[in-house]
Amino acid sequence: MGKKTALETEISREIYMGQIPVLTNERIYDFMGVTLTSSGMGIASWCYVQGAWLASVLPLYLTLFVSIVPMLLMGLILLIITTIPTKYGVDNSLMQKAVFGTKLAKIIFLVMILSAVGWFSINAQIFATSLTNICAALGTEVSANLIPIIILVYLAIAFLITTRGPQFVKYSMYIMVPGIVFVGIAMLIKAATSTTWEELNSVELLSAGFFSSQKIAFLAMCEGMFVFATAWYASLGQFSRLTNSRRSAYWGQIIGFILIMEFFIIIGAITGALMAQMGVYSDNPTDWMIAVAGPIWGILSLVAIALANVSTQISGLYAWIIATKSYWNKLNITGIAVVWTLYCFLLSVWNGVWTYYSTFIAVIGATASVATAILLADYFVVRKGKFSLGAIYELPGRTAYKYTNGHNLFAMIIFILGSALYLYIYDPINFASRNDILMLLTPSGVSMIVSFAAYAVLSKVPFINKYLLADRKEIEEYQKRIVA
Amino acid sequence: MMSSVHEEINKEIIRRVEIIESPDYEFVSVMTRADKIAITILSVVLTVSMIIVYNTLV
Repeated sequence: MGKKTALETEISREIYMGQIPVLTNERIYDFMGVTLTSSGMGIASWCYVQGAWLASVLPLYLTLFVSIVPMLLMGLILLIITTIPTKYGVDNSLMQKAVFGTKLAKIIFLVMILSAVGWFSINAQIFATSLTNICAALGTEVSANLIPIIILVYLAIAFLITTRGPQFVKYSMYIMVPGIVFVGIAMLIKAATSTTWEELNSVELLSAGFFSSQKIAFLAMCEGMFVFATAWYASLGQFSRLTNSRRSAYWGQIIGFILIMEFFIIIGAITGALMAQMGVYSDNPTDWMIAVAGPIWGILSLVAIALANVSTQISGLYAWIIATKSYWNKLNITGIAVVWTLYCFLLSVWNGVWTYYSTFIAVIGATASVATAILLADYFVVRKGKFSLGAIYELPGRTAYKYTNGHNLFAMIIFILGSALYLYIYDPINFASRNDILMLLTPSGVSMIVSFAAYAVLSKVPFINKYLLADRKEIEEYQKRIVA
Repeated sequence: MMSSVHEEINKEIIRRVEIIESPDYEFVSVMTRADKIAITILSVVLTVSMIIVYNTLV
């Protein structure tokens, strides 16, 4: 009896934190649930870093425009992918086996997740530096040697909450997210009313000199926001597989992953511009809050950062666990959580992602944007939303997604060429356009359009079509057998 | 114990794949026509606004 109970518990855990498909009647998120959980993941210090970066390149009126429009546009396109994991109750990292093949999908997954954790390392660093700033403002100097320990404690809190399961994650978001948004609104009002619109727009742009013209700077910042949206690639599907309708999953994540984040990017942009008035580049709102508004606002800002970053780390870690379990199903959930937490810790202590932020953005762009385009073409144009689930799980006799030794060579070629095209257009080291005509559509825009079109059009060539759609026969035969 | 857990999990996956792939399975509700129209209109408006703003810059 005890053994059976333990098995049942393990299977139940695997449904919500592992690879087992979630049936329609088992979904735990409605529109509100998925909105709050994805908001909890979206709101974090990375928004402030992005906002401050935009505000150091463009005048504030343009920064506000770029904070909202390009990311929303990319979000509307990207999140269409989530309707497939919602339909089948299976995470996207597993569904993409249909596109890339059973082995290549694993490599793509690793590339995406190893780079995606970089965002989380920025959050950990900002949290630690904010805490030391506040302590200094209150008269207590914290040694820089303690920063790794602060980061470790922060990651440990997230670890403990995450490993309690998705219901616990969901309810912690119900408490944290409204609190963060409330503090965010207070911070925005405080920052916006401390100066005038004219003053904010006349601030010296500390990083504008990196770009040859305002037009190129505008396109580069649009690109930065496109990438900010496609960076969600590694997290597509983990929440939508638990959501009770495709509408709720799509629009809930548009709010959580896109609109709520934009609100916090704007806070980062305004406080960044305010610090730039003093000639200081800052991507941490506590700097301005302490310098101008005083320690009370600084503490409030720190509370917002702490809540936001911990909630993001919880959701992120949860998403990585599910994605990792999709490929390595024998691994223990706690073990996976330990590995990803340690990796995040090492990236945070290294400090490289924050230092080479623009280059980091370009790496995400060159990979996630192209992979997004290929997925959209395959899921909706080639496969028309219909998959062989048995082949996804590699059940006996279900080999449709093995392609060539586990690699879809066609998808691989498009992926490599699309990524190369991205780097041909934009030089991420020197912030320079290599082709001004193609740059008009932004590097992500061009590489996505070309990859999507190439995949969709070439898939009509008979031998490629036969290669890609080996699953049709399998689906037909399997359904006949079930009916019989 | 671990191997029996994995066996049970695999059995559960097979059972669920059969359920989901059966013609009678009811998937979660789809995106409506209104959703698709809203996504299209929003995307066009956002793209046009980016072009307009770009053209105002020097």
